[in-house]
Amino acid sequence: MAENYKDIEELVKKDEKLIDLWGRRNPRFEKRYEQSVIRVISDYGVGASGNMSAKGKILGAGYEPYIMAFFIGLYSDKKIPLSEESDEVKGLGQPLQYWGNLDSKKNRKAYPNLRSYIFIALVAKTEIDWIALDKGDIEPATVVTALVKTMEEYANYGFSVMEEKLKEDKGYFFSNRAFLDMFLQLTDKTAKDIEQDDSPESID
Amino acid sequence: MVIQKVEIQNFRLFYRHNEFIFSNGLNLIIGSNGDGKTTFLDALGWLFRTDGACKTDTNFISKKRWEELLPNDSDEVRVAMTYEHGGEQKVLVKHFRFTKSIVGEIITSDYVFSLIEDNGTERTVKDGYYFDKDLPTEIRHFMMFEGEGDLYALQSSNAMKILIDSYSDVKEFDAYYNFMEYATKNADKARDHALRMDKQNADKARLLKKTIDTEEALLADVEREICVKEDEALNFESLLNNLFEDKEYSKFLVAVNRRIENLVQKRSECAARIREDYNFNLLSDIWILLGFKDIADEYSSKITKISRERFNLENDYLVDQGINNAIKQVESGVIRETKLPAFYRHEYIDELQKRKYILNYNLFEIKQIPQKIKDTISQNERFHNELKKIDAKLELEYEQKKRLLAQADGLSEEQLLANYENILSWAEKKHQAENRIDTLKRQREQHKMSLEEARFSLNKLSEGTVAAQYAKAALLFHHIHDAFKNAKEENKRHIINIIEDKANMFLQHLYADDYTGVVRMIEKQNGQVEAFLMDSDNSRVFRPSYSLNKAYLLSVLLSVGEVLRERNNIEMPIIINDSFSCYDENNENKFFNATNRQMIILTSDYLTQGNDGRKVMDIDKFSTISGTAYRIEKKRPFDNTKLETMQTTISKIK
Repeated sequence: MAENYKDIEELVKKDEKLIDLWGRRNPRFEKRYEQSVIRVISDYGVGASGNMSAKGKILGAGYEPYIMAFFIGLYSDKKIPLSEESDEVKGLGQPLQYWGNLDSKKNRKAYPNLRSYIFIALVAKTEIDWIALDKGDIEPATVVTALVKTMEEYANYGFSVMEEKLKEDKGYFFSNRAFLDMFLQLTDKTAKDIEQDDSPESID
Repeated sequence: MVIQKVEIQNFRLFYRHNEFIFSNGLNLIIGSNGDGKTTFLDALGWLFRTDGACKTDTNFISKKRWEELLPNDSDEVRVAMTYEHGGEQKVLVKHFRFTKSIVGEIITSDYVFSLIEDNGTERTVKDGYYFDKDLPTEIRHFMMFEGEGDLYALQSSNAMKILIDSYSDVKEFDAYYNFMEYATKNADKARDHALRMDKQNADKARLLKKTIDTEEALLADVEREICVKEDEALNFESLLNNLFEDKEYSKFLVAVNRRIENLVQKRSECAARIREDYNFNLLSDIWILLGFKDIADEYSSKITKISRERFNLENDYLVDQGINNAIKQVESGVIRETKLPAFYRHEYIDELQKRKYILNYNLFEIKQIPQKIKDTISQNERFHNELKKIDAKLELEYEQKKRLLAQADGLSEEQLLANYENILSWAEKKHQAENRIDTLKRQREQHKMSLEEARFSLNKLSEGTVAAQYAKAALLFHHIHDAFKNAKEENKRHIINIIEDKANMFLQHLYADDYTGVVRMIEKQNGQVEAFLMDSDNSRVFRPSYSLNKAYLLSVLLSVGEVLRERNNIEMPIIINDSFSCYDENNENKFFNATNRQMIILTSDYLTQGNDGRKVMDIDKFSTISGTAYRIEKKRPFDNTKLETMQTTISKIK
């Protein structure tokens, strides 16, 4: 389905885009979640996610739990700032521009377009003086830092939720519906709530 | 022969001396499994052996008695039977001594096997082998039975053949038949010799003789092959008839297997359509955007607002700068185009604006995601339900298959399937055998005719010569030989018919209230005589019920005894170790009353479970029986892991 969407990146000018600046960043997470969550449900730290199935992990690369955590925070609209102690946090290890690029490994398709939507969500949820940015009064790096901070804080909340779930039930996320049910609950979408809109919204 | 008393001493479970007194009529020995019924029969079996085998078998020695013996002590294993035969009372006794050596080994000695005859005035002791005169071995096959296994074994043994050959009038013909064989051969020799002397016809005679020899050899070959093929056809017919019911099972099994195969495939296809890797869908199909609409709207509003603001600011700036420049120019009097410095250094808002357009374009698809999720989940649930239905059907089919195999008389699935394949093959082989038999029979007639013609020509050749008389004599002897051969066969058939008629009489008596079929005694090519149960349309009843099967075999047994008594004045008891529980009380009594011969029945019938779990006499059932009865059981207490603690006790209860 991802390939059906018009590629957002093509229409933007070929100068260095904000999303590209953002894409070079390596978001951080609190180290405590590495063992309690990330390594439990993904191949983080192991390598090719082609071995995912064989290892019995439900997710592949480490950014996948990060994406799940981010969206948990986003849909809950809750953030938790990262710890200020530098030795309690670490970078994931893979810049955002590579997230979702894995292709054809064990029946998985690449999903690079998801990055654009994450970026869009961060722009929507981060208070930035965009006028000042365009005027040059603030640096793009500052804006990108703010966007990444928003991302880290949403994900931090998401990781805390996931850790709680795993504490209650070690096998919680090993059900193939665990994440889906969680998102369905958070978004509370049912068939009767769906607006049957047959045409795209007008561009204004 | 009427057994009056049986004594068993130190023979296996029969510790020290034990005695049974029997009446001429029904005698029951009632005991549970392991109480000594089989041992009783084995003791008699050992006593009756006149072939010299198993004389001092140490396995017979009572373990309990053996354990009691001190070194150098000894005792006896002894079995004796007192019986009345031909007006004389006789005692058949067999015993040997066993001694425990100092080192605990068994030493056997003093084996004795005697027949003591007492006619009232004189007492004679003979060698035990003389017992054969009172109860020949051929007859013992029809006297003692250890369960229905022995009854079946009777069918496949030569016992019936030997009995008929020994005790019918058939053997009377043997001497005449054998003599005629001899006479015929010598008459032929004399004729041939006379013909050879006749120089005129010697060559022709030689040719004819050669023809006769050839035809006789060919005829013998044909007869042999007819025997083989008839047996073959009979075997295939048995196999096919045995498969008759199995054929239906086989057909059903093939059908069930086919249905199972189809269902398994359908299941596999259905299972393959289930796609429940929702984590895959969340990321690769970006289902994770199921709640993104609000965020998209937020983004759109924000960017719209920022863009407007950006535009307005720039516009205001341009207007202000324009007015200022215009004023300056007017004041200076110089009118020239002035390039204004850019209000904005970057166009990131423009990037965001463009991103908004694409987002809006894709929004419709994003809004469809929750429905897509629901549809996928529903579809998977439908497939799961379909899978459940298929599994339910599969379970039913497997149950049916299990029931089918349970009813198929212990045949395995492989056998049933093989049977299905075999039926065609065997039918074809039977048909081929039958066709071959027809061909061979035609050939046999041709050879017979050729042989007759050659003999006739040979005899004719000798007309008017010295050889003529020899030829006539030879021809006459041939005819007499054939007559005796036919008479022998007819006589055999006659005795078989008598046994058959009596067997049917007994069967009707034993099984009066139900379907019985008809007993037919058929002589096979190898001389064995087998009894079959046939329907009124002359088709064989291949699967009679358990009780009917036993009844018809017992009828044959009783019939043989009756024929021996009536024709040969041989009276013998019946000794059976078996259960009659397959019969109701009525039929059971009918068996007991079927003949006035002495019967000794060893059975576990008439026992029932007592309150303490032990077997006790069923008084109500037992009260209907008349005759002598003994109860045998292991003396308690005993250790069931130590044979030396066990012994059978006997008590007369009637």
